[in-house]
Amino acid sequence: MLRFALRRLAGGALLLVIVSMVIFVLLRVLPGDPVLMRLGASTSAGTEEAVNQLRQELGLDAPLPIQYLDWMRGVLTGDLGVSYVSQFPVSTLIGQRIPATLQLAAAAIVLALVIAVPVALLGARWPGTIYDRLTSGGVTVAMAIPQFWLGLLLVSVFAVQLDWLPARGYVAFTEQPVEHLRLLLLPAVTLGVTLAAPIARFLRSSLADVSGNLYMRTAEGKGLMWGQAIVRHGLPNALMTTLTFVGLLAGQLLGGVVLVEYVFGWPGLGSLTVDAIAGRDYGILQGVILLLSAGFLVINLLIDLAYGLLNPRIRVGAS
Amino acid sequence: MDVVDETGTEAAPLLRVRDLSVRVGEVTPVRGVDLDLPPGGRMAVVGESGSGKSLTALAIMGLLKPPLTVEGSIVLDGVELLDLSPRQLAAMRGGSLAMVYQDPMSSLNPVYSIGRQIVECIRLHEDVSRAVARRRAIDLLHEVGIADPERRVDSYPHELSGGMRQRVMIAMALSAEPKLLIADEPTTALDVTTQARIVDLMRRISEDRGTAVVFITHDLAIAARFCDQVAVMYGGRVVEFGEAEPTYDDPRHPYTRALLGSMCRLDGDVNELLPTIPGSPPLPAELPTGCSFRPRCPRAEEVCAEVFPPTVITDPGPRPHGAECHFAQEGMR
Repeated sequence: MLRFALRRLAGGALLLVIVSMVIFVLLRVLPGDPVLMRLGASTSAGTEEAVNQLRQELGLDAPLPIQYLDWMRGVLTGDLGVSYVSQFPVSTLIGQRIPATLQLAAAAIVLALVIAVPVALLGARWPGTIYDRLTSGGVTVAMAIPQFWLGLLLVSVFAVQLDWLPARGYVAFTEQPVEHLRLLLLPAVTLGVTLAAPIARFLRSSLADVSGNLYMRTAEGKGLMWGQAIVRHGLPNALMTTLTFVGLLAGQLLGGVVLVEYVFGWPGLGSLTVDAIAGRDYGILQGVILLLSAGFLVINLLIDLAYGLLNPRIRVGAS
Repeated sequence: MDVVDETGTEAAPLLRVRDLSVRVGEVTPVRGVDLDLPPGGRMAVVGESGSGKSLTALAIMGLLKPPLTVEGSIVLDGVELLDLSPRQLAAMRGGSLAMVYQDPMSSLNPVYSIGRQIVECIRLHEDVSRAVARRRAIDLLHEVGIADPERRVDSYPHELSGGMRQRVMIAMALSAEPKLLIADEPTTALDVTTQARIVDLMRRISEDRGTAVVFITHDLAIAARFCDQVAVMYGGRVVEFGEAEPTYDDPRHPYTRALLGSMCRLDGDVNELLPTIPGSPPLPAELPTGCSFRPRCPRAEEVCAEVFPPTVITDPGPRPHGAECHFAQEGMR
């Protein structure tokens, strides 16, 4: 188990190096120049001298490989550089935003599971019935809905027309807990529903696979009703494969967070990223994308480890 | 034909199956099966694959689901099973009626320890604490011949051999002290020495506990080792039934004769090829008219193709011997 984890960690580190190179090059290939953006914001027209001076200050005049190595040297010592726009250290800016994003992502995952598991279970309990077909149709629709559109729709209905919930914004939980949760609800539902759909579909089909297993007949044979057998004997087996799938969805979740945070004015990494893109703030963008990639790899490593702990066949084989 | 015991009083049969049919769409793989089993009796249901014997067992257990439908009557201990609600039937399953399945390798849930799976069964049928149920699970594992049950109770199915898993399945089936145990080819997936041990174990359990057993098999030798009654199935019907010894010594249906003839005998000539039954069993969708065994039958005459054979009781006895054949009275020639 330990060797497996170490090997995965080493592979993940290699992958991160490659990702960092790709980010670095891609950002610089994108049109737009951070120096011009910044000067354009403060003075109406930067002289060539001013441009060159700022370029030198930011270290953007060096050849790309040197710039990359400078950045990597900083990353390895925990220094992600400074924002070109605000001059604050990137690590500070990111650190401020992480809690809000983690909270939103966690709320979305919990909500997604709370929706997906019962939907899939009920479909497997009465396979082929109207209910099963309605939910699988609903799942297809939910999978086709773009997140930002669902977000705007929810705002239009629950905030604008019904006026039940605030449209966007953020207050700290420590200051106004109720208002905080009210503000969290719409973005969490937006993300949760769009995540729930693929999870429900995957879980429903692994429940269908599991239902044909002979141990399900044994479960009924010992006196369980079909519904009980599905929950007690089918679900644990089906969840095991679904868990891996949820790990792959983490990428979709992280991408969704960026958009949804922006729609709802949630002060997480997502809105930080969107602002940084607008200002071509390389330092922030590189830092955020690297962090999200690392997060994705860590989540999947943890899920693989959890899979090993949950599945007795793997658990014994590896110890 | 209720069973009459030696004192002449009528003993109520434990299991009484009448005109049991299993349908799926236009096809009827089980067509009017009758079975009678007294309390503590041991019956072998013998037949080739596709003869409907497993479907009969699953129908008795109430484990068949749509599109399969069950008709007829299954009375266990005075209760008509086909009239029960799904909930009542679930309470019977694993309780007074338990089953051991064909494939022990995949009949246990891989994510739970065997102890947990047996405890679940005990606690479904009796209100006892986890600790008491676990203690009883260990005793059951001991009874079915699993060495070191205190340690094995926490094993997972994949850590056990096929024979041990089948013993676990038997322990689970016994956990609520069933009156009737249905064993559906419990030894098919096991190697030969293990087969014999499992059969002996089931015989011992049946004798010690007075549990009635319906033993489904295609293996006449195993049936002979175990059972006091035989029902031979062919094409979804019971074509011959009776006490084991008279049926083996004086089979009345040509199919039973052919089955017995194709058995390997230790006292036979090893250089002689074993006789086989020509042709293959009929598909339920393509049954011939008249007697379904006719196309493969050495004794068949014209009448067999035209008229469905009657059930002929050749020996009324306390436990009748009979066969579904036009020429059942002829005996072995």
